[in-house]
Amino acid sequence: MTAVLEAVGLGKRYRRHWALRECTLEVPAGRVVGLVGQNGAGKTTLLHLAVGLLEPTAGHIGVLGGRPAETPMQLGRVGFVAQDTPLYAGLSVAEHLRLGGWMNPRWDAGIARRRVTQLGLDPRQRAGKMSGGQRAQLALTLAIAKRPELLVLDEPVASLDPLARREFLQHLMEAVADDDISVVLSSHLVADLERVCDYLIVLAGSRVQLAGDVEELLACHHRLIGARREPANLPSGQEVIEATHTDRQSTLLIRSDGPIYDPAWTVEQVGLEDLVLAYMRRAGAADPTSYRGGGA
Amino acid sequence: MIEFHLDSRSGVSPYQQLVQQVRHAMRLGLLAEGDQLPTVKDVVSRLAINPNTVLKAYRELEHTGLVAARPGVGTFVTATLSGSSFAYGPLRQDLRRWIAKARKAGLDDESIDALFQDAFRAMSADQTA
Amino acid sequence: MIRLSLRQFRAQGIVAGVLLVVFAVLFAITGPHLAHLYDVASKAQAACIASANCGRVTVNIGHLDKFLELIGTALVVVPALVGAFWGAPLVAREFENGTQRLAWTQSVTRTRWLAVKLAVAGTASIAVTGLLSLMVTWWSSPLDGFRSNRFGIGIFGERNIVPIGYAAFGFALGVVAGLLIRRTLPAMAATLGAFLAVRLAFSFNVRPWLLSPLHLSQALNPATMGFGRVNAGPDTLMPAPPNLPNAWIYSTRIVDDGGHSLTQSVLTATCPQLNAIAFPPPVSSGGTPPPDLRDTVIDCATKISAKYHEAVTYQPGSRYWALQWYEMSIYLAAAVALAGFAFWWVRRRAS
Repeated sequence: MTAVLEAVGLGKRYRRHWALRECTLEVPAGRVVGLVGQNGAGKTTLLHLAVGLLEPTAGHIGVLGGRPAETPMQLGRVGFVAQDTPLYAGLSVAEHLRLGGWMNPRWDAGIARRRVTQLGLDPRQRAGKMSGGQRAQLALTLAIAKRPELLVLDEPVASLDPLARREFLQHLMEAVADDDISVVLSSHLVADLERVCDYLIVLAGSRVQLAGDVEELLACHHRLIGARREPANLPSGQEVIEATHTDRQSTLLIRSDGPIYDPAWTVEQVGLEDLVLAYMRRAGAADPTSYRGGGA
Repeated sequence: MIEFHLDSRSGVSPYQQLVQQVRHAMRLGLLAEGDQLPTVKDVVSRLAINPNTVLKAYRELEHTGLVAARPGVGTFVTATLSGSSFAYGPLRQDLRRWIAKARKAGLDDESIDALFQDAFRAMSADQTA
Repeated sequence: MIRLSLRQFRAQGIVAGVLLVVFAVLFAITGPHLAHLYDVASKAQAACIASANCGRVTVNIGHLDKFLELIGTALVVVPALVGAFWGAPLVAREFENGTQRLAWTQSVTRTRWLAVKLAVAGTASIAVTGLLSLMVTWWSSPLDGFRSNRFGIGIFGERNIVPIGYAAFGFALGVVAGLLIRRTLPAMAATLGAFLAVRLAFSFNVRPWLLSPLHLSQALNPATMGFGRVNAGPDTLMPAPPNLPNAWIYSTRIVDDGGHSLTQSVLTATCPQLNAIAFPPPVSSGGTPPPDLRDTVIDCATKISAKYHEAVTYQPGSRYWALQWYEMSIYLAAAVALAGFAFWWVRRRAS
């Protein structure tokens, strides 16, 4: 399967601070990809690089086999909803849909209209007067109705109430089911992503800490609980991600290619959220300055 | 037509929950042979989950011979599970007797449930080990 | 993209359209009457030159002049406003609201996006200013014909085609300010400030040298010589304005054959009686001294004219249109350069 997003050594620097560094990814098509990381970890930077709003400082990024924003056709294959869903406050819902038609040759007005009716949006209401949930839904409609192959969403539900959040994800998943679109969506809440994502990328300290199929990741990570001991001598093929100790007990989070045979350990599954947190903490321990998003 | 729900805290993966709910519905007679399962789009727009999850569940059900996909039409139930409910009668009676015994021994509902889950898990672990 | 730009420009376009119509109506109503008033006044003044009763006529004309100046300032202000209100928010407002992240991820490249926005609002700016200039020029033509001072600082830039250059420049300046500053209000303020600075600097320092001025030497005419001071300078002889109709006089100096100006010491040495007279408040060049002083002044001028003559630096009236074209072209070229910079910036640097 071709990669929908490919990055090799991708990096972006603002003055003296690297927002993203040595990022190498190969994201397969047909997935819903979750991009997790703390605020300031580089999620927005990576997404802006993917849609052509930023140019890389180092390395290279390819989207759907082409360079982002290179041609109008390339622009037409990728739909984007930026953080805080920017819309034209003075234009109404209907005018936004017309805008979509003017600026996108592959615009599907039927889908757009049907969706707006289904969502119960008033076509004459101005975007500036709509609630956060309604604006997010309108922005999503705009992105979907241009029939993209890839949808990129930057923290689309971060500021929405739980009902609006659920409705947004329902709308999104319906579009994915309809058209087989690939989606990359970022969030700093793992709980949002668990339901919808089947591929995960963890960004921490401006670097990619973890990337892979969700099921595979959950299958190859384990929590080991046992009597207190240093984990120095684990068999090869097992990598310790995080180790915590009390005076009596050690708890390890490991990544393993094969099953665990050592009877001294109690082996448990790891939930997605714990997995992400462990990798983020590990990144913080390795590089405290860049982890906090500030830099010398 | 049945309706799915998702328990995000159950520790069981989403696609397995869907499979279980279909089998459960079939056992209870809520799904009979020839009934159509909800379309992927319907499930996804209600539950806000990944379509691949639903596809995976339906594929597994198809693999075990319980349903069949008809392209362009939908996914339909092709077998029954409630038929084997004939074997359930004696099992059900045994179980009721055991519950009565446990209550007489002074166990409350929670302890009974915990005891059952513990023994069940231990046996399942033995089987896979 | 064109329709989106038009839609976004709608409110501003309506305001401009309404104002233009209002002005047009006002001008149309008052124009003929104004022309009539000037006609009457100028005839009366021609008739009264000999007698001493010109005071009232002059006052009437003075009122009309002031009124006209006020209207003329519309053309000083409009290019600046166009820059601040149409140019600066064009891009700055999109950045401020983050909508560039919506606009640049549709199927339209940034270059095309900017090009269309510039074309729509830029054309409107030039058209509105051009129309307004046309109206004001037509409406002020009685005064202009009477005064024959087309080169004046408050006049040259508010007639005919130069305002078009100003409008284009102001607009482009606004767009660049908006691009660099990315916030609407600061960009508007910066545009107004920069525009004003450039206009002032150009009007005073560049315009006089667009074409090399001509020089005229003529003998001093004692009969029409005046006496007074300019600003805070000393009292000195001041020749009457030379007979160069419609010309732009830079300076009229009294110089000797070597080109040296008449100094105060030479004047005092040659005409000692002049300084002994108490003199009424200063008048600028051409002011006629009271009768009892006239003979002294004539006498002095006659003595001075032995070694000194009048040197006039000026642009002939025939160069008016050349200067208009040059100045407009320079401002237009600056506008084009700014626009080019805007395109470059949007493509390479902005996000």
